[in-house]
Amino acid sequence: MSLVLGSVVLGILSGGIYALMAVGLTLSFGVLEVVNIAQGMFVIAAAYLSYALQRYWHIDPLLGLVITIPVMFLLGLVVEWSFIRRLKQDRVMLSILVSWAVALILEGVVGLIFADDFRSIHSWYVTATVPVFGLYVPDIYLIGFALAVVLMGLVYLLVYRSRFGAALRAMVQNREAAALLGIDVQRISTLTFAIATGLTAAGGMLFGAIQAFNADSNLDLISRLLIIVILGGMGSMGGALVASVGLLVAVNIIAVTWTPNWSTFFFFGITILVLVFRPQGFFGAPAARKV
Amino acid sequence: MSHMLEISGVYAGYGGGDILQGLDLALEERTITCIVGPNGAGKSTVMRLVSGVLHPRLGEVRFLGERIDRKAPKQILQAGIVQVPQNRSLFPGMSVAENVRLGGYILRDSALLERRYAEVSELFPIVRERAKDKAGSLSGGQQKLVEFARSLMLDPKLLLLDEPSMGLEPRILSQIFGVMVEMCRQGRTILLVEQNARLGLESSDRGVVMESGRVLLDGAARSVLGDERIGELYLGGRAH
Ligand SMILES: Nc1ncnc2c1ncn2[C@@H]1O[C@H](COP(=O)(O)OP(=O)(O)OP(=O)(O)O)[C@@H](O)[C@H]1O
Ligand SMILES: [Mg+2]
Repeated sequence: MSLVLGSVVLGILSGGIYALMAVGLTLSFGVLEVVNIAQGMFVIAAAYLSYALQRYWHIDPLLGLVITIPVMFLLGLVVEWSFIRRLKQDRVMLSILVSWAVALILEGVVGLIFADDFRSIHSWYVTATVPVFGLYVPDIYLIGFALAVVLMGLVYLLVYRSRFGAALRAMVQNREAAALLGIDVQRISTLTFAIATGLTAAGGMLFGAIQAFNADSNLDLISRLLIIVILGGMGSMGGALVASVGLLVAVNIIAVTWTPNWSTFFFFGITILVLVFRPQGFFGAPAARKV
Repeated sequence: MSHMLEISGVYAGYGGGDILQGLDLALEERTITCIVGPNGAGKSTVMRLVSGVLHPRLGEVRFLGERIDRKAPKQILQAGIVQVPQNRSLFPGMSVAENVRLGGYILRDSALLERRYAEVSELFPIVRERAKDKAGSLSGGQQKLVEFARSLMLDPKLLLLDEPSMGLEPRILSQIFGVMVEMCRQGRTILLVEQNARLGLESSDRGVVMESGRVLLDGAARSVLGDERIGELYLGGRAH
């Protein structure tokens, strides 16, 4: 019984971390109508960045965020400028193809530099653990959850409490009316995509610390992130958080009470069920965008 | 030469041929000018042109003597021109207060923004009464009033009103047009587009009939209203 409780705690903690990785995906979709298949690869690229900073320059992964967040933000600016803004119509469909291409390019580049050995990010807080109901939970999960809460809280404040956020929500609800008020919709779109990408710096650092990864890991990861975002109702940030925590708790309970192999199967089994019976997710109205 | 807005020889479109084909139009300060014309005549296109959303291929637009036809929407707002577009343009999921404040989005001075907000909600009590409600929960007429309120946040000299009567119940139309006349009396110049030609012309000083991107007839609202050809074309079906 206490093992189950422990796995619930672990599920909540990793659910928060996954939500952080997914929040950019949901933001890009809600604001830009872009399904960013490269989100998984952005997370992996960020994980490599944290790994390299630590390995070659001995920069602590958490401190390194001061460097990796701006770097990923810049990558987001470049990708938006060179690919995303060229998509004038049919954005949802075309963005899937284009961002998949971006993911492949990035995967190739990363593969060239690091080959395909599995890497992982080390630090004292990755190996230290705290006992929770009979499970030993690595400190990184607690730090990661706290970081996720803080960053998602900042995103919430940005979207719902700032001038930028008011312009962003206005633009989502009525693009032409927003433009007539002097809101630069292109600039808002670019910044939103860059912020979404910048957040993967933190997601990537945490991902690389809780499991070993190589460039290929982005495929499995993007599948999971898409499930979270679909289940949460495309474009809904709160929905993504609830879906992420719910899924990860379920996966962890299955892993301890049954077998870890089945838990992965469960993740993807859920996807199929959702796509067949409730493609709009549980928090979004059909085909509606909410930000 | 003392025209507030002067559109001369403008050709403009959306990439597939010109919608405006040699348009000439000049507005006097502190007057209401009403454009009428059939669907697709290019009336809303004129509004987009003046707002800087659309740039002319040929010709020019002058506001208070200065060329504005290459300016961005934000610069046009700064110059003192605000448009209330044809369809409902409030952000339905945002509160009335938030909507109205967005009317002053380009203002950098937050004290000025708050002062304007106070003035505007004084002028439009609905803004104060429903401040916290979602704009989408208001009736069509209430939404139009809030749109007017929002358009005053920049204290514009020229207001572009594109079919304000659209989709509203007949009994509130006189209120909407009354507010418009009042805004003009306070010193603003108004360019109105109206499908309901009789109603529009009756509240206006000047009437302009547009067809296929050109001005067909331009004169005192009364004489346009009385013109036989126009009566046949645009007023016949709608006369009460
Ligand atoms: N964004 C656009 N892209 C391409 N064509 C457009 C666009 N907006 C309008 N048009 C075309 O330009 C022409 C004039 O449109 P406009 O909206 O100016 O007409 P209007 O006189 O306002 O008509 P209505 O009375 O229906 O509002 C129409 O043929 C329309 O199809
Ligand atoms: Mg129109």
